[in-house]
Amino acid sequence: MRQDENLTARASKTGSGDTVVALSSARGVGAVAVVRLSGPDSWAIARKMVAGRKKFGALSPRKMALCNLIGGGGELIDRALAVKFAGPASYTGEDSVEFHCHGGLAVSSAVIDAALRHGARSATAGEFTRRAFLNGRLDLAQAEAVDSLVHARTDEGRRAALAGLDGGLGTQVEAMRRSLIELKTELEYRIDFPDEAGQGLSAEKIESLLDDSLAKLAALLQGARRALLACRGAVVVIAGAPNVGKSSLFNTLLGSNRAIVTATPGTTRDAVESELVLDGHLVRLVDTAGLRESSGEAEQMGVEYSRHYIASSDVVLFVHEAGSDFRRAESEFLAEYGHGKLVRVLSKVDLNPVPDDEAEGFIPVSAKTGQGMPRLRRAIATAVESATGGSGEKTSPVTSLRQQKLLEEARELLRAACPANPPEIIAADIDEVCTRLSEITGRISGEDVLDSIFSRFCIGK
Amino acid sequence: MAKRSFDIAVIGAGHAGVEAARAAVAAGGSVALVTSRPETMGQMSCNPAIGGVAKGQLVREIDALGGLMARATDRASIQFRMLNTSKGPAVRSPRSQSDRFRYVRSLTQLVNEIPGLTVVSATATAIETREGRVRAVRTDRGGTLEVKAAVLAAGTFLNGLIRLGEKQIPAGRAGDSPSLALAESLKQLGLGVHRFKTGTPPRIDRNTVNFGALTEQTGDEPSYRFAHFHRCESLPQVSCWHTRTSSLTRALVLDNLKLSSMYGGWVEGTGPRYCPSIEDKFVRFPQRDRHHLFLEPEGLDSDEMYLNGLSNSLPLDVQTKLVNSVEGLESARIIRPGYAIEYDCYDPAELELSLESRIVRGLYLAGQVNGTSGYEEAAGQGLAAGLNAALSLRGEPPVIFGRAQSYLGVMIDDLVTHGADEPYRLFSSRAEFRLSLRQDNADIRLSPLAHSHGLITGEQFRRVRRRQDEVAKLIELVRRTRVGAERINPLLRRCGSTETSESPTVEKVLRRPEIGAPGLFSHLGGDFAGFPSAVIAQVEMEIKYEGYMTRERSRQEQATRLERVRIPARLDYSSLQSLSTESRQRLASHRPSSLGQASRIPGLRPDDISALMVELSRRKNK
Repeated sequence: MRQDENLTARASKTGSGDTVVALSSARGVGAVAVVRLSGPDSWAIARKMVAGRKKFGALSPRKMALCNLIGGGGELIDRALAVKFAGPASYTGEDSVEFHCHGGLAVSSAVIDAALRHGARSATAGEFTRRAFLNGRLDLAQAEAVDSLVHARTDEGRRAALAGLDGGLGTQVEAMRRSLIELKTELEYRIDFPDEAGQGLSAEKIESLLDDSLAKLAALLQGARRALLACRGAVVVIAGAPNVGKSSLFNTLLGSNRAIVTATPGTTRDAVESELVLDGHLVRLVDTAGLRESSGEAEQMGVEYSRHYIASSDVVLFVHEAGSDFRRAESEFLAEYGHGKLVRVLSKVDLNPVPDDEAEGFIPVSAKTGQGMPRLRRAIATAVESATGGSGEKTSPVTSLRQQKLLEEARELLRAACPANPPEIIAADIDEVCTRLSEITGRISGEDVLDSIFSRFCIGK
Repeated sequence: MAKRSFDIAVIGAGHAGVEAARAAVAAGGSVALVTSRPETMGQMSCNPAIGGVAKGQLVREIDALGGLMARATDRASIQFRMLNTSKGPAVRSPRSQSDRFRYVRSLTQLVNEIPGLTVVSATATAIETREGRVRAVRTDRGGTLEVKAAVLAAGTFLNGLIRLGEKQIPAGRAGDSPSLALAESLKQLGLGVHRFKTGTPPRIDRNTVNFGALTEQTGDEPSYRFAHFHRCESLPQVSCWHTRTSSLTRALVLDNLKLSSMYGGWVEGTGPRYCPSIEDKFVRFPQRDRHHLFLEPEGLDSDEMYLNGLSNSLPLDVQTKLVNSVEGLESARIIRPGYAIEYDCYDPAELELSLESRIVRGLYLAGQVNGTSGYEEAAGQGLAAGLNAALSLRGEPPVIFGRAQSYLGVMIDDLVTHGADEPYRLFSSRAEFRLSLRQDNADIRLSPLAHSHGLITGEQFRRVRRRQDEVAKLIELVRRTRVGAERINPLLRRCGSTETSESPTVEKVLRRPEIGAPGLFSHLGGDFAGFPSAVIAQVEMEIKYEGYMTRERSRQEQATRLERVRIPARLDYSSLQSLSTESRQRLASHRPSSLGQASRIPGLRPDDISALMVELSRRKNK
């Protein structure tokens, strides 16, 4: 009992106020469900939820114990494993408790109800991670990596997210920001103390310092695309003229009838998207409306969507019906859409057989008979692999589009900075870059350039 | 003596007090300026110079708001320099070496010309309150002044204590008594007292200096004027002189460290890091064995020279040896020794952004009593305090100077939001919108506000508008005019810029980093000739750094939006569950008046600011 109170008092000094509860495992039927409590009163609330309070009170952190969970009328809810964590050494950084109860909604709901009755509040979506961020357990980039990790569908995605969770991005970004602040300190010193400073920094010196940061940014961004693809999936768009069998191919690749298939050209108007894993790569496969000039307004909008998807895709499956001039169709397609990663497909080869050696880089397939499908799957996987920069490249700690966008903005700003400009203008560029970098980690910068000036330079005309 | 009554009493006639009196009178108040020395207002107790980086910009702002400082500076200027000319227009800063005797004469005269101002020759001894509001100022020989508001601008006089080695002399500055009674009265009122320290170097007799061993520093052509609306004749211009400490200086300082007030353990107050004593310089930067020193004349008719860089609190005999260890000063004589001075000041975090105390209503504080250093900083605060005291008596809302609008706003917001851990001085790096806060556009930035509060006349305001039209006209000309290759190439060659084979617009030429606006316009001549340098600087910023100005303006707009979200004074932060406990505590102790101010409280996360914004809009919708 005494121990409980002490620890609660300590946690509330650093904690975020109230205590929250939520189901931390997936909703639905499963063998085990985990209910998590976090906040200054989590131990006290949990203690009221169990039979044998003394035993629970004496339980040391990070040790599991079996206990009986008691509901409102004193009836038994479940026999569950309980484990305490003492802040700040917990996920959220606060005192917390986890109950590993039997699976299913009924049991976990009853456990959560009991916690609410004893004074906990329902956690909002993402609140545990938010608290971890607020308590300094994670920076923003790491919090995003947690999100990527729990949503990872492939091994590669998991590895990329884990790299982000390491805090690697935060550390690198912080180091870069610090070296820019150092340059800014020099510039500010020369502006604010013109009678003190000897020679100004040469444009060459400034340029080399800026180039240095630029190179670091480029290195971070190089692996970023691949890491993001691993986390979010590569977009593979099926494109071609109407009625060449794109939707049949889409369904066959997924192994289910997601898209409607008819003999009428122009059936698909919306883009239809679904995920699949090919050779360990997460693929977001998109079926699009056939490309043609159309009088129908709805179909024309569908064609617009198709163009949009093709433009933002990582790989395009260009589908052409066997039996017509595929060379011309290809060059027309390339002329209009020009695309780096193209996988060429000849469809409906069950109707018009094409021998492999006459296909000239096209893969002859039949959605109906399954002919050529294994080869197509391999070809897509290879294209995704090379679109993501090949397997040789090291993974990057970038795990969200937001991070990538901020890094790109920082790079553009640095590129535009001109070392021949006066120092206050270069300082303005550095400020903008640093703002982007701070946004990545969500850390407040806090440092004072003046402090840094006074500690480095002897001021005092 | 009989009781007299005024709207406002201003205590102290230094740089803060005189501006407070002027602004309060202009805004319609009946004002008593209380000073022990009515014949010497605006004393320069330390460096005989006005302006410098950021400070020069501030002086221009004070002038745009109808203040006195720029006018006195112009009349007393004996050396003018524009600092940072090798950098861009945003950080070019005027600095004037001033004849401190002429400065005092000019300023005293300007104050005596203020219509309706009453100067009370007395020392303020107490502030009387009723129900937490100022009701009277007691003086030693001027009776009791019944007032509705008071501006405290007492400089370093409150419990002032001069230290020289182990010696200590109660004083407001060398030669003046300290204010002990008033300090006690303020303490009784419950103001949070800090103890700060500052120092000043010895003054040298110019007749004993070997100028042959020093490097002369001449000034620029004295055509620049700090004042926007008033012209005056230039005084004869003089030089400053540069020298350096020697290895003997260093040995003397380090050997006698124990005798220094600072290092002997006598001084308790916190001193400024940007203006270190010579003891500090040798102790904190042991790798540097020589330090720069400057000899600055104190006046045209005076033999005194200010030895900039040798501020110290060593005993007089050591100071003499110290001075004589410097190149060119081997047989120099000290007229007045350097010293350290400690004084009471009050936590500026207890102020509203109007500079009114939250502890005592109707009491406004300005200058060194708020923990600042510098004549310019004091004058700016005095102006704001005097203006707001007068406005409040008329039942009008105070003028809150924005950070996006002026250095004055940056300073006041810094002080009120962060308090002062050491004597505060303005630096250009404190201003996040520095590209817009320039000496060349201070009048354009502030004259609408100045005019609407009666601080400048309608004619003065119209003059600013006319200059603004000139800027627009020149920008238009620059964008429209094309210039032939044969005409522009000689200039490009001279500036090391690539020659052109086309006929570019003047705008395109000006955008080249190597090409400066003044040189370009004088090369072109014709329609481009004859614009004042302030107009040229503004055009240079708008054209050459257009992208930067656009970016800064959009940041200014964002910031202004945050400033506009007011936070109710009585908001119960403990009820804001979506904020972390720590942030709620910080907010409750700072009590920011707007979301913008809240966002600058150290340690508050952007996250908490977003949460606070949501809470505020939720409350508003209720």
